[in-house]
Amino acid sequence: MRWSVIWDYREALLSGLAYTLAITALTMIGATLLGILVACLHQHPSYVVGRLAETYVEVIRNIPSVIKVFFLYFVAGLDAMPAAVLGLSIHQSSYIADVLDAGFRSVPREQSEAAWACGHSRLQILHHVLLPQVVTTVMPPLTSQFIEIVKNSAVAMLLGIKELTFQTQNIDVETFRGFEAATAVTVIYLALSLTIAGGMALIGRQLTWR
Amino acid sequence: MYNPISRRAALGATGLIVGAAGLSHAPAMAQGATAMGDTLAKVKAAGKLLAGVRNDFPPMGSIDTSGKAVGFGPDIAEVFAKKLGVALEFVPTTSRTRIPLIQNGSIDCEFGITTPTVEREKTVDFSIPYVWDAVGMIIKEGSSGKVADYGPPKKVATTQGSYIIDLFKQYIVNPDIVLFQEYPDAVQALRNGKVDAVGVNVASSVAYVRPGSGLMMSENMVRDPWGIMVRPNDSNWRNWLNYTLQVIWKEGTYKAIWQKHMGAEPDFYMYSPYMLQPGV
Repeated sequence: MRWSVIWDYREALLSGLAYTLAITALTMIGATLLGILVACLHQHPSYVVGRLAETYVEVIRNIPSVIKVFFLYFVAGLDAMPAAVLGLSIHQSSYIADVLDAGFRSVPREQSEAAWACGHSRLQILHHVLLPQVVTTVMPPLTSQFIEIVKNSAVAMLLGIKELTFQTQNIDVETFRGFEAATAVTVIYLALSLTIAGGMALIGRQLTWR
Repeated sequence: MYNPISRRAALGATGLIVGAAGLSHAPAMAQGATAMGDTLAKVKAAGKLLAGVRNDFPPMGSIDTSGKAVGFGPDIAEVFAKKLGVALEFVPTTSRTRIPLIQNGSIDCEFGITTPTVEREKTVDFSIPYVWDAVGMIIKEGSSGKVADYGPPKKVATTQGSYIIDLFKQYIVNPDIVLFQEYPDAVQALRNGKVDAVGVNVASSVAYVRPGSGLMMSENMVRDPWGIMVRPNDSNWRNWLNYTLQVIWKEGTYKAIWQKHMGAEPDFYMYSPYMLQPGV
């Protein structure tokens, strides 16, 4: 064991962390927006639009993230960072759409109808009746999806982006200290995931207390 | 100070923790003994040679459409197994997995594309050079063949962990290096204009630089020896490999296999540029 190797490579690890954070944050935003869009389209009254959204979810979640990222990079010709973020956003959006969809379905339709009958607007129904209940249902699986994004961000290394896992392997090939490097990176990923889980729990509480 | 033993101990300890090494100390010790002991005796006793071969480096070693290992490395490994009179099992290696695999006993030796470096010699041992290759760059047809012309804004690529990274830094001023995990990805990036050159071993370029591919080779940066990688402090095994290499060179088997995969005679000689080791 030679743990000092982690300290020697602290700058490489920090810059790797910066890339991982950037990919994760951008993907979280992109995937959530796309996921909301697809979930809304799925609820759309039009049969065709609803089925299209369903097809999107089915097709996208059955294709490995690596394929999407490679396709965007090699075939569509995007640069490495945009290809990674867009590929991962599309990948995760299908899962997030599914999660949101399930959340909305969990609230019985009668509640909306009752609120509508009481004279609430659609926005008021969404705000006062649907969202508080949907949020509690959706938060735990959504948290899992966000944590999944943290881990999936390692795919970016296949395009030569020097993110956290890339830097770890660099430590391994340069010093053969793979065990130390893997341990350090495990701790970092764990910290990232726990931060996201904590943050999501906080947001969930804020939203339900309204 | 660097201590090569401690990593093996770490691996052993990890194995013990995850239970892969079993409940008692004994299996871990056995693994340690394999790592330190006589591989030649082990291979003969097991009746099987575990040969590490590349699966991403045609024509040195790759996987054919049926999933079988093919190439120069696998063919040479077969000759060695025949000389030993044992069965042969291929274990795929990559630039990142080859050293852990030899350390933990998953392979007995690697017929790969590994250049003996001072850093690597701290952890593993090598046979005499079994291939003399060169390092150059795959470039698009019609572009400059001079390596020094590939400074920024041009991008040069190779794989993570390759020592070609150091050569780039030596031959190009402030190179913009993009690192991929596998060579096919790097060459694909060159074809799509993502990078302007891919640093490779010339032997492996045969698979990519073909008539009609639109690709060609730059000038060579250096000539580059490859050794058969073995575990450290295992003279019996290493001597046997060194000896057998020269025997199959003398018999002409080596040359035939090289010709089959490279389409030309080897432009080097085994053991030394002039002769085989006295006594072979």
